[in-house]
Amino acid sequence: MNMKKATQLALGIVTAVGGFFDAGNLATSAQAGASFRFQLVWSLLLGTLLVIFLVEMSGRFAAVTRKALPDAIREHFGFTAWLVPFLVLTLVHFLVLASEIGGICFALHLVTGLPPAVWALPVAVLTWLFLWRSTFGTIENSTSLLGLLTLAFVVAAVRHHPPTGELLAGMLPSLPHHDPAKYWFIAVSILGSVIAPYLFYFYSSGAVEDEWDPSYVNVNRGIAFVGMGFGSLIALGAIVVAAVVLAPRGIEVNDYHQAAMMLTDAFPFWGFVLFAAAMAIACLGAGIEVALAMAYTTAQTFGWNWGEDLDPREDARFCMVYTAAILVSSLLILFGIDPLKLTLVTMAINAAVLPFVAIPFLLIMNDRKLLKEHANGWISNSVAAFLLVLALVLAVVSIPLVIMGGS
Amino acid sequence: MKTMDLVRDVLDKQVVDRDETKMGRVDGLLLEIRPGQPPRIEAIDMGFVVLARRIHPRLEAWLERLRRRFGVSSIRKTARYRVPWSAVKDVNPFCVQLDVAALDTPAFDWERWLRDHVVAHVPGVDS
Amino acid sequence: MRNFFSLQSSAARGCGAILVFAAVLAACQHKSPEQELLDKADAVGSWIATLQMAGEKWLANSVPTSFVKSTCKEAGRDLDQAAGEAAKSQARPEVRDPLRQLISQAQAAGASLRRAAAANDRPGAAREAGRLSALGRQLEVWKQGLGPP
Repeated sequence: MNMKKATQLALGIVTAVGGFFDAGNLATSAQAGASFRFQLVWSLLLGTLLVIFLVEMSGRFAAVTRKALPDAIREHFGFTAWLVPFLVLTLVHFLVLASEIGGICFALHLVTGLPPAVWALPVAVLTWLFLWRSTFGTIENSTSLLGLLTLAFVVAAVRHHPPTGELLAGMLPSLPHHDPAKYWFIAVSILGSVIAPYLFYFYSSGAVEDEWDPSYVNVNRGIAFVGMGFGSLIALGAIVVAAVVLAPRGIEVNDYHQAAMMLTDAFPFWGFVLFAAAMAIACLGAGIEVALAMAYTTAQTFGWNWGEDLDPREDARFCMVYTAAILVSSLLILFGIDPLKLTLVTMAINAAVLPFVAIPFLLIMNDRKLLKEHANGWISNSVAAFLLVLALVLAVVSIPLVIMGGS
Repeated sequence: MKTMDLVRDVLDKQVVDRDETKMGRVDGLLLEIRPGQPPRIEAIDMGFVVLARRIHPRLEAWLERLRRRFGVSSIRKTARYRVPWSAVKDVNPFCVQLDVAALDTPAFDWERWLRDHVVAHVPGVDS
Repeated sequence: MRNFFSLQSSAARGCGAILVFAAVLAACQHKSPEQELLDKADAVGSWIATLQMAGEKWLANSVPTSFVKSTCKEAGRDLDQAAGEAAKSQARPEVRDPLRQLISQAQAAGASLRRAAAANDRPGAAREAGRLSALGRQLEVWKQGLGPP
């Protein structure tokens, strides 16, 4: 492996970590740990396994065909077949973006004491400015390096010396002792937050922006496994901290205020600021990726010129998509929607729309005409088939769960 | 003889200009029916109104009326325009390449309009 | 590959089935008034514990005053809502009334904690944290008195 590839691998891993942990992971992990201690760790592990395979597939696809997913899916299935998934995904991405903006606003609320709604427009402008002014490379490097701040959750988890036996037992699914509706709602939300659709659209378009070719297939594998695995370690850290700090006190997380003190046992002086900083950075990094995923998807669907490295004058329509997306989704926060409730419901919806993401994606991964020897093998396809069944089950159960457990 | 599957290999494909600037997709294909002779590809159709036809004819009719009434002429042209097949330079696995400059075609009218009327007014973008 | 479109119409029918399923499930969600009260009590207990922790962390200089104030405000809003729902509850009075009393005490403790933090009154905040801790224990006793659902 040459120097450039090694750098790409390192950067890719850091990016994956930065993009993986976001408002959805923080909210669902805190809620899971606080209400069910380690009992829902299995859901995180299952989601991580599936997302590793899916991210690997989307990167492999981009490296081999030099096409990003939306581009290839419209070309192969046609506009009419892609239209419904495209609209559904746009709507979901819009809610996810609002959740991330809400997360940044809440983090700023923690530090300044001003209500989150006050921060909605400044945060929107900041996020937009970041996208407008920078190239793809700078976005990757800056947000992801700062994103390492979220490792505070892992450090705190280690400092608390969690009970190993209980933690290991949580890795296997088990039935809840109380609140079954809430238990399954959180389990589904964790899956939705880990297998977030924007990851694949962002990652495959990013690979095209970075001009990957088939020689990147192995680099891509490394990024997917190490990056997603590492990202999920942070979510695990958050579950552990919530289980050790919040659960024994009887605190359940139905409001971000109830999660905000979770690092202060491990870091009495810095814990509060660290939580706010980690939350803001994680949400900013993810928010930028979601906004870009929306712009990539829309531009590729209609064949417009796209690319974060281009000057906004060269791809005005692409830039207008993320501009409008950021502005409109910040309005949800401006109008005072509770960021945590929005995030939790959005994560369950993420899980519900998984079939829309998975079906065209998995069909195209088996197209030997496109991918030749890089088409899915039997391991990937077994995981894919399992995912498909799971996705269909989730689609059926998640909406009733939102009604029963989400309130 | 080299063959080409129109629906699989051409329809919905990315369209680029001679400098490989992305300028749209093959939203529709127009065949000319000639008496006593096999049909021939006449043109590529592009634009929102063409896409609407693929969803429902009534949606197309409605968008077409809207388009005619729309004030900004450049956007009006982007919503439906036709490129003769004779302008096609190459069809490859990645794209359909046209022997035109995207900036001079209606495909870029909307792009140009946004650039001149919106992007140019954003502080920090020097025009 | 274009058969994918027919997959979608079956997906649309699937969505319809899900909605019906959801409606049926929601209709089946009939709980006894005591059970509903118990669910409410969990949220109340969680806020009491949050307020207590916020008070203690403020005393330990781990969280800023503005955080205590906004937490008390949020808690107050949710507790007010819980109080309203408890007042309307059809549960037996001997079950319902102790909970209503606990909620109103928690509301008062939250408000006092907020005032104490705003005035930088450390002994006052310590007193409220202690009071909240006692309220949390009383709530547990109340829950156990109700027995397993």
